[in-house]
Amino acid sequence: MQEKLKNIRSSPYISGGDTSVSIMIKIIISLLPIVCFAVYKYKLNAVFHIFITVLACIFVEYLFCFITKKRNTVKDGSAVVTGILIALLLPAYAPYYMGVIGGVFAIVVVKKLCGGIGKYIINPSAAAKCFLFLSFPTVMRVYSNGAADLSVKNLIDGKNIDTLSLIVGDSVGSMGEVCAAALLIGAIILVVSGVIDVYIPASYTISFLIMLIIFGGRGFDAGYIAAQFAGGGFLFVAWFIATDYTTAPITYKGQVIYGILLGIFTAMVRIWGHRNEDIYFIVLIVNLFTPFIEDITIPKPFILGGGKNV
Amino acid sequence: MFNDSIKYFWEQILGEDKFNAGIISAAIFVSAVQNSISGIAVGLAIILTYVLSAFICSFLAKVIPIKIRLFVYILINAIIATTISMFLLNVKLFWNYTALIDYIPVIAVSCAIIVCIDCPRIDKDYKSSLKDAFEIGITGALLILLYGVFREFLTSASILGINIPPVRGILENFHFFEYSSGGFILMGIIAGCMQKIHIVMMRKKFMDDGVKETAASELDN
Amino acid sequence: MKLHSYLGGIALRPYKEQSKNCEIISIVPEDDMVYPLIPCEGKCPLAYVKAGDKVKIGQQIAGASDGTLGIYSSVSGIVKAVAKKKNYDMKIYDSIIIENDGEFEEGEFDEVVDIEQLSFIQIVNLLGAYGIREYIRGGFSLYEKLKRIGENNANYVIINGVECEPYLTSIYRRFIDDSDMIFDGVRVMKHLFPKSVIIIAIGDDNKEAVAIMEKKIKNEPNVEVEIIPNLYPSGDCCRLIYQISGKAFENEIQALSDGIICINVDTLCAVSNAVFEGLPPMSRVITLSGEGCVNPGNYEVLFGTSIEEVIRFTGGQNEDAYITVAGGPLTGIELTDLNVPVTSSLESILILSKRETENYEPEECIRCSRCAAVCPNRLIPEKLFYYAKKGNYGKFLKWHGDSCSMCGCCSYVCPSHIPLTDYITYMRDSLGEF
Repeated sequence: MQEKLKNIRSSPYISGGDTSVSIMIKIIISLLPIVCFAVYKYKLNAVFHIFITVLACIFVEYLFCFITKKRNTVKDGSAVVTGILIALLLPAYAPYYMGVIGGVFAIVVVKKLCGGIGKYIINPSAAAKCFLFLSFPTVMRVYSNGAADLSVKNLIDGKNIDTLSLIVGDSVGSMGEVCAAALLIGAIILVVSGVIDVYIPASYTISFLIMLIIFGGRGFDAGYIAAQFAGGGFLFVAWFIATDYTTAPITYKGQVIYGILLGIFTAMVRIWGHRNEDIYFIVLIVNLFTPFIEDITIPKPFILGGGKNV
Repeated sequence: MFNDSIKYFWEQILGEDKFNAGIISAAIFVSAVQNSISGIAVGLAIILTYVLSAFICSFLAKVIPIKIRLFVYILINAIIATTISMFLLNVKLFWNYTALIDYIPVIAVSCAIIVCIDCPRIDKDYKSSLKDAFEIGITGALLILLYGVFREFLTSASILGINIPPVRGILENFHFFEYSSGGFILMGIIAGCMQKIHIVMMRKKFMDDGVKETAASELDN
Repeated sequence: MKLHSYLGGIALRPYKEQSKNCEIISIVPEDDMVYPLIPCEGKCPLAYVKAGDKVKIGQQIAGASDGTLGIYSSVSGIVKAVAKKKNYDMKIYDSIIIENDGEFEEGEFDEVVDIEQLSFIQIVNLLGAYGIREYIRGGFSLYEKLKRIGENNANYVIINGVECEPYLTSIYRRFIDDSDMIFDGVRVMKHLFPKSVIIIAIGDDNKEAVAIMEKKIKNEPNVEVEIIPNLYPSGDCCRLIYQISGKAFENEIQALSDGIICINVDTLCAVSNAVFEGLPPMSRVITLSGEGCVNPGNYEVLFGTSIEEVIRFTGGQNEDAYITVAGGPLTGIELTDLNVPVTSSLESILILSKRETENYEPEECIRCSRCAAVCPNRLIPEKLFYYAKKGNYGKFLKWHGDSCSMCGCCSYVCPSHIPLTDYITYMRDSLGEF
């Protein structure tokens, strides 16, 4: 089989569409609004965090490919995107070696040792955040210099939250979670440039909304629901982390089911949980369901009745 | 479609390869074994449970019809494991270091599954089933002890209760291996290292060039 | 008529500017002609001549045992040999090699009978004796299709003039230059199936062709011109049948039992030549295009001419030429040996430069699901590729790998440049052996 492919080139002979580098560049452009906001708010901390994490990820991936004598995979740009996502999940006042340790764990243990790009089972950025949170609990909870509380903690305690401050960026959290407006701009760029389909974020949002209305305890309180959407990293997870190519199902029906599962578990964690970072553990749990979801949503082919517009 | 999905689910848990059943017991001992002393306790419990239950079950093998044999084995295993664990708890050496009373049903179930699936000679006479159970018990206990030593080293920088100060300074803030998630990753690391040692030993065994190439390429894939 | 639309497909840049406005030019060959005896649906034509025989134009040199699948010589000369030669799809067939003596003596053709006096069976037997097949790659024989659909059983006769693959312009030029021949073919079809609706399907970037055909069929009842939006696999028979009638079939033969028959424009011209002029099929129009050829255009080539001579006659290649492809750019085959003959299933010859066709190294699949978004059959090529690599036939069939129509859309959009169509075709071929 390999012989046949090596001697003669096969069709198609023209190529179009994206390459993997152009996809990664589009993702980086959609992350630019939140990166700029983080630099504006946290000044040099953010710059150093992002710089050190991205460099560590690239270096570790190159080193791993060099040691195991396999083909160099830094070229497809996924290490850069993973590095930026890990850096945005760190609190701004954490020490700088957090990014390095998180990058090493994400690239080596989660991505490379589980099969490389396209074959890993859990999201590397979310896994790195969970790993750092469990290993260094004291330094990873320092979200602000002052005494301000996390938005999710406030929501759970029952205090009132100013949603406008969450949208504009006046709140407290890890660097990627603070400004809902920048995240929404990035989400619009992602959809318009054709990188992701809206099935996962849409079903995630709708099922989260329904669960909050039914079980939230406050009915249709618009302020509460808006605060739940805008704060605590919900937008970041829904648009940038849950839509990762490898760990999301590949069928459209499967993506809707995946989003619904994520929404149900996130609502449970927000209503009856007590930690801000639980949403990242939820992402890891639902990622493990993906092969099962794919096997039960095989699409019907054209001749058996699938895929026709009326 | 529902039948297919249920079948798929059980296939993934138990697997066509019977060693996947050990995953359940692995989950159990990761939470039980936090340091080397509890490792020794769990290991001893396992050896005694396997040996005694294999001994008793081999006598009952000829009497009981085939269809309910598995359930009877599990029942006997459970009784023996419970009594042994309670007996071990009374030994003063283990008092301060273990909370084994929480894990009695756990050890019982794990032993039951392993013995019933992994012990191929339990239906013959009592001597071969005893030998079998002893082999499995000793290897299992040694592995658990090794695991306990590593875990204790990584969490509190001590081996068998003896402190090593310089390492403690580095590991002071690193709490990952105290949790079960760290325990699973440590188990994966140990399993990976043992697989690598196995591959190196197999490579050395096939000194012939032709065989070496094919074996090496097969192992690499 | 309202068209049904389907999900999937890709919008390609047409690349047709080079040869769109070139009139059809005939090529006069000088070298030896090779006629491969290609089997069709279980029957194989046998040679009627042997080495040393003298043949003239129009003389039958091969045929199957039941009188169909005839092959006719397109030049006059002496038969050199009957030997095994390679065809452009890399298979080896028995072939008749004729040495061209350059004189083009015409032999005897059949007499022309007025079409009103011929019955359905007589026309079908005539087309079978002339061995007319669909002029596309993997085409069925017209005799089989007409025999299976039976007399007066057709609801729709669809004439496929949608050229959705880039670079191909030969059908477009046929509409403009040979529109009389096409109209004669429509008359034959009306005589064969008086009660059916004849639909001429033309792509929406060929506006002049639409105008010309509409003018010609202005007052004819039951003949329509449909404009098909030019999305990539719209010109495939099954896709076209769905868009017009709303029913999905696996291949053309299944559609015959429902009364829908699909005929290519080139085949129609061969039919009209056979019925109105008594000429057997001896030539076809192909497109020569790409940045690597000196004179791109549409050329009428006699069957049996070698591709090397065609390229040489039209001026050869220039220094930009990188690869030569037989067929369209998405479903064609790369030619390593240019000494292969032109048969009835070769649609075009493309000489592409390096700028047009970059050769990328395939990387690992990143599961981006672009192939699933684009597949017109609603399959998931990523899963089929995964199981094809592992050799898992059961799962390959569970994900409906046998419904792939090998259009090449998935390999076109893959960001990692994986040849998905090849893996799926390999699995399907090895399944066909069971």
